[in-house]
Amino acid sequence: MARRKRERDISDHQLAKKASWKKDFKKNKVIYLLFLPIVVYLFIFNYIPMTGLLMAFEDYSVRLGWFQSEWVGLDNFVRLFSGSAFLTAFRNTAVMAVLNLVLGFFPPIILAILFSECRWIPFKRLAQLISYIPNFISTVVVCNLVQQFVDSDGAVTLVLNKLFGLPVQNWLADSQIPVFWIIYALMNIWIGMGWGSIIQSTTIANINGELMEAAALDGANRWQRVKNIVIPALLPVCMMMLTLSVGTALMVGWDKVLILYMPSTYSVSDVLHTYTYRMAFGSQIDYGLATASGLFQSVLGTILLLVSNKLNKTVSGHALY
Amino acid sequence: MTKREERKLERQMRKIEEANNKPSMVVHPGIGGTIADVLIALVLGAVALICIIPLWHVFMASISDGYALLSHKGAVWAPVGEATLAGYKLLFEDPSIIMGYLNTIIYVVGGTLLGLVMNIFAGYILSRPTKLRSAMILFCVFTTMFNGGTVPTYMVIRALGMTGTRWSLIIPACTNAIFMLLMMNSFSQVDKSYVEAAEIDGAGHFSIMFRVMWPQCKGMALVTAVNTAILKWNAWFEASIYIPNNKELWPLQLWVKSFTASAEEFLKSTNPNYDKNLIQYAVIVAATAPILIAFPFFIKKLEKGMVLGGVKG
Repeated sequence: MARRKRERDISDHQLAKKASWKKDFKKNKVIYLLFLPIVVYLFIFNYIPMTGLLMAFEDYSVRLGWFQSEWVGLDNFVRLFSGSAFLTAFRNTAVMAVLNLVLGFFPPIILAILFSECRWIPFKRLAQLISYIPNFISTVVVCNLVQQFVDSDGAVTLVLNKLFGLPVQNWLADSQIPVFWIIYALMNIWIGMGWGSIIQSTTIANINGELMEAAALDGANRWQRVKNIVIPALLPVCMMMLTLSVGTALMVGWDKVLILYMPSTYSVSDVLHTYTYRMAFGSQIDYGLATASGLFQSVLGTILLLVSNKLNKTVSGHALY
Repeated sequence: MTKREERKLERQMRKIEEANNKPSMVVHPGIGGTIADVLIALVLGAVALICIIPLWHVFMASISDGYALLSHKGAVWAPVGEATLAGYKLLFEDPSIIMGYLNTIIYVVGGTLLGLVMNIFAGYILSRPTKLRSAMILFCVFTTMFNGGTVPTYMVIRALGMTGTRWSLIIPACTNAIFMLLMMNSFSQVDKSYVEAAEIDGAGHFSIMFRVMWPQCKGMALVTAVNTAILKWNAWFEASIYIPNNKELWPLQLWVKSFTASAEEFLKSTNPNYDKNLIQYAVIVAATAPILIAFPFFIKKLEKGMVLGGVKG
């Protein structure tokens, strides 16, 4: 039935495509008129800024504007790639994106499995609701909480000192290699773990109960049932979520970095977005460099999006584009 | 969506709900099963604690004694020193936090409504069979694949004269093509025979949209609206570049940021008022409490929306 409906829909759209311009316009003029505001909106806030990318190839001057400023070819990019700050930012972005993807992948799945295996329902429901909360706390507040807890008199710092004898210090000011990255990845796990487990919980709830009972009758213990029934059922959804997040991985929640980082830790905490931000709004303004860095990000983002789309098509058969 | 598919979806939702609220039929007898149950409960309890402890810490710190808190180390489990509301008093004596609240409400409500209207219209238009349909879809999709980045966008908004006004926080980023395409999918799933029947009866676009199709699309509309609202509620960066000097327009989050960033500055004065130490905690509580209070009311709907969005793709 659904297939018949889809066939009819497709034929509808094809008929519309074949109609003559005059007839189509007469029939759909209200629709086209209604679409005008949306065209204007997307044009102003999405397409005109794309034109602004011209600045990446110019020695931009405020007086002359986007179209009259002096053309300098790839000079900005040469400067960009020869500066060490940009390359550091690029490395940090890549590492943090990968850490977020890899470390953030497992907790929601494990949590969803634990929720499904918990037998005290009111307790489980309460834990589930509480685990959603961090997702609804605002970015600014989350970052401040992190600052408080890893400060030199923060709770996390003291616990780490007691358990592992780690130094009592402000961990956010530590520019040793994995410290900032790990704090950042853990923060993102804290935020997204509970809310991210909803989809997996739904998938587990969809598993046929009889299958589980039959497996239990056949003598499969709990672990065997999770390993052989639940995890295989979860796998497609998890792969889909993973490939979807590849597309936006470069963003790495950069407005949080902007709050958490400090000049003394730029070597590990600076990411592409914050670098662009400093070039455009910092003390020494350089619109050419900022736009070149922005263009680099956009192109990289588009490539990742297309890759993620392609992966998704192979993994799940669905695709956005 | 046909009646049958609708019923199927409903059945599925019911099944999920049952599974969520009933223990599985498989029992785990013996000591091993009980130990596993206890272990699972312990881990889940620990997760819940980790999620809630930071908030508890801030709440307790906000009602502590300002001077005693300065030398306190680690998490605050109970009020340090004598419990006091001095921090809140100082916070609300300052009109900025109330103003920040009102501004945030304006930005959230304005942005969400505007975005919702655009999403609904775009979704309807893109779902209709027209000759330009694929061109229009391409026009939208391209914006999701490529963007100009922060700097050009800022310049456009400045050139429009929006910087320094409320419009800069309401109009840009109130919707995006992904929300529009989600709405398009939702509208496309309405059975065409309803629409054709309405057309034969002489219904115009508006009555088709709102009388015939809306009941089946409002779930997805809610999901896009809530997402926009959360984005607008969280937004502080846009405000920090578009209206850095217009403090009377600052949203709540920017106030939270500025209060927490300058928390220790009062110590520099010769005779510091130690209650000022509490402001940074009080402002966090004030900015988070409304969401936590509203949480139980909207969470179930949102959860359902998430699931539906996931099921439909």
